[in-house]
Formats: sequence, structure tokens, C-alpha cells
Amino acid sequence: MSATDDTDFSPIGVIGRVTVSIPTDGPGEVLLPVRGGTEAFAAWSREPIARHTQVIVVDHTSARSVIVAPLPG
Amino acid sequence: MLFWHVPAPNEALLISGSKRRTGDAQFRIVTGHGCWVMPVKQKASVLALSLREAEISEDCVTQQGIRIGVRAVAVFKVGDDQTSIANAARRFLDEQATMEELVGRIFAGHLRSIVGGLTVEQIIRERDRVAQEVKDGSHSEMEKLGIVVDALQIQEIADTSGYITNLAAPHAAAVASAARIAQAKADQEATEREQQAAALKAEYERDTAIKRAGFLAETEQYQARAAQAGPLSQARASQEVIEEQTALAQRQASLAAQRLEGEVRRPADAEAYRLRTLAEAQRDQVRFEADARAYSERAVAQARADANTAVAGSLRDGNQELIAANRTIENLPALAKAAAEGLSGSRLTVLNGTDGINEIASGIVGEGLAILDSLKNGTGTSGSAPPLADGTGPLPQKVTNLKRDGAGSGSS
Repeated sequence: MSATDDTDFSPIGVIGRVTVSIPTDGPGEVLLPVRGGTEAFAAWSREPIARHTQVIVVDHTSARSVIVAPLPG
Repeated sequence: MLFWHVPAPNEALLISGSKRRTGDAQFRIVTGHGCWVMPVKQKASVLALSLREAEISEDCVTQQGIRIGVRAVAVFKVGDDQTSIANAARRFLDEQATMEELVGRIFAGHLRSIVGGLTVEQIIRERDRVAQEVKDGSHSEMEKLGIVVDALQIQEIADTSGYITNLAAPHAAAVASAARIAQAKADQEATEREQQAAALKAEYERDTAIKRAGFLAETEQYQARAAQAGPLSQARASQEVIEEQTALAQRQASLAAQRLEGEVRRPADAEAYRLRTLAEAQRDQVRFEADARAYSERAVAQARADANTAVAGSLRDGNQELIAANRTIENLPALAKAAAEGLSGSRLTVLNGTDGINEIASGIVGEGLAILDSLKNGTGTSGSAPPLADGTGPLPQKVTNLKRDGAGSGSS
């Protein structure tokens, strides 16, 4: 059965959009397309990222937390 | 079906007692599709993944240390991933009804920390900043519970310390003063306009009153004229009548005068003329008579003188024949007198003026002269008359002279 497929989902590599601007020291929020919908994840980044910026998920630290980087280009 | 369980899209089916487990979980999580649940051996529970809301009302202190009462709504749900479902199921599976309350209580503490990290101005103005704080303050805590906070909506901020009021006061005062100024200006303008309007109204009223008075005066004038027209025309008519009467009287007077002239004066004039003419005639007659008389007398005297002369001559010469002539001459006055009497006795109307009278007179005189001439012829037989005493010439010439004198006196 594919019971694990829809819950064990890794968001790494997914491109999303910043909904709450990400400061250097604290979490922001990114909206990522997962499981057929979009879900909000807490997002950290090395550099502050403004709202409505396209980002790519580089790592996820917990179930609802990801590390993102600005989408190059 | 009895043993075939299908979870709704917003539900997660938790099957405990199953041999197949996801990862190292003690139960199987099924979402999005159905599965068999063995009775007795397995137990299926449903966890709702739908959106829930918790109302929080909390006294908070801001970053500036200002106390405000915040009423907020936290919108949250159980996370869709396996970890979140497992965490939430372990905590809230039996408490699903009171889940909001529990989460609300938990979140109230987070709200304090969230508000504590913000200033009042930020809370009021900066949504992004608030959302950041919510994430920062509550994310890790909520992740433990398997809950995702979708939104925190601050519904009301109770200004217990009056800070916001004071914050707003200058602006409010400025706005109020501006409003008052505007109001005052508007009032002033309105008053000005009203005054202007009143002035204009008064002006118009004055003009109207003047015009009305003018019209009234005109009307009254015309009415007076109309009222006077009757008597005036009557007076005019009576004046005309009087004039006509005057003219009539004048004409009557002139007629009377004419009549008087025609009936009285003309006849009187005619009478006077007649009388004057008669008088003149009488006067002339008298004069002529006198003239004739004078002439006759003068002729008589002349004849006498001549006779005397002749007598004297004859006396000197001794002419006897002249004595007889002398007698005749002595009788001449009587002759002349008789002739004159004949003239005066006759009433004659002289039509030929003085000429006629002269003629008559000359005729009479001529008669006298003819008589004298006959006398001369009777006496002068010889033809050679002796010269008279004065030696001027013969007698006939003298007679002629006399005649001439008589004629001169007669014509005067």
C-alpha cells in the first residue's frame, strides 16, 4: 500500500513562495506545493528574504520546518 | 460496508492493532483512501484535520511596557504530514471537542510573547512583522503538538492605559482643530454670503419698492388725469361755447354797427351832405348875388364916373349930346337893379358851378355893356370922338378895361 507515500513526503527541491518575510535570525513562512495542495512551512534562510520571493527548499529540519534559498536567476 | 473504512478528505484514519505500520509509529495512519478494519483485532479512530479557531483574550505588555488588552483569533489545523498527525493524535484524539480551548490556552502564552516582541505601532501597522513574531513565538511549540497555525488575527486592542488615545491625540487634535477651522471658515463664508444675500435682498426690495411707488405714482397720475379729463373737457367745451358766444356777440355787435351805419349814419351823412351842398349852394348864391350886386354897383359907379367924365368933357367941350347920354346913364343903375332883382327872384339850381354863374354874370354884364355900347353908338355919330380928359384913348377901351376888371372880380 502507498500509505507511507502520501505522509512521508520530503519537500526538498520544491519551489515555493515566501508568504511571511524571512529575517536572518527568525523563521518566516513559505507556501510549498505538497500533497496536491499548498501547505505553509516555517522557513529559515541564511539571508533575509522578502515576501513574494520564489525560493527553493534546500533542507528540512523538522516536519513543518524547512531551510530555503532564493531561487537563482 | 461494515469493515471498509474510508476517511473524508479532512480526516485521518488511525488504525491501531494493525501489523503494517508506518515507520516506527504504533498505529497506522490512513488518509485519502479506504482500508479494511478487522473487527476486534483492530480499532479505527478518526482525527479531524479541518480548520479550527481559538479565541484568545489576554492582557499583554508591549515592547515599550505598555499594557494593552488584546483579543485575537488563532486559526489552526492539524498538520497534514505524518509527524504532525501522529503528534496531534497522541495529544488530542480524545480531546477533539475541547481542542480549541486547549490550543487557545496554549496560544495565549504565545500571544504574550508575540506582543512583548512588538511595539503598539507595529501591532497596529505592520502585519508582516506580527506574522513573523507569531511564527517565531509559536512555531516550534505548536509543532510539538502537531498543529499548524494558519493565521493569527488580532481583532481588538483595548487601550487600557490610554496610550493609543494619547498617541492619536495630536493628530486628533490637529484634525479637530482643522475641522473647527474649516467649520469656522465655512460659517464665516456662510455668514458672509448670507449677509451679502440679505444686502442684495434689501437692495432688491428697495428697488422693488421704488419701482412700485413709481408705478403707483404713475397710476395715480393717470387716474388723476382721467378724473380731470371730464371736468377739463367740460371746461374746454364750455370755454369753446363761451368763445362761440363771444364771437356771436361780436358779430351781432358788428352787425348792429353795420346796421347803424347803414340805417343811421349813411342817411345822416347823406342828409348832412345834402344840407352842406345846399348851404354851399346858398352861400355861392349869396356870394354871386353879392358879386353881381357889387359888379353892377361898380359898373354903375364906373358908368357914372365915365358919364361924369363925359359930362365934364362935354361941359368942357360944350357937347350937348352927352347930356342926353348922361340921362340914360343916370337910369342905368335902375336897369341893373332890375336885372339883379330878376336874378335874385329866380330860384335856380346851378349845375355848372362857378362857370355857370360866371356865364350868367357875364351875360348879365354883357347885357349891361350892350346897352352901354348902344348908348355909345347912339351918341358917337361922327366917329371922331374927342379925346378924354386924361388923354388915354377912346371910351370903348375904358369900357373894355372895366369889363376885364369885372370879369376878374367875378372869377374870384
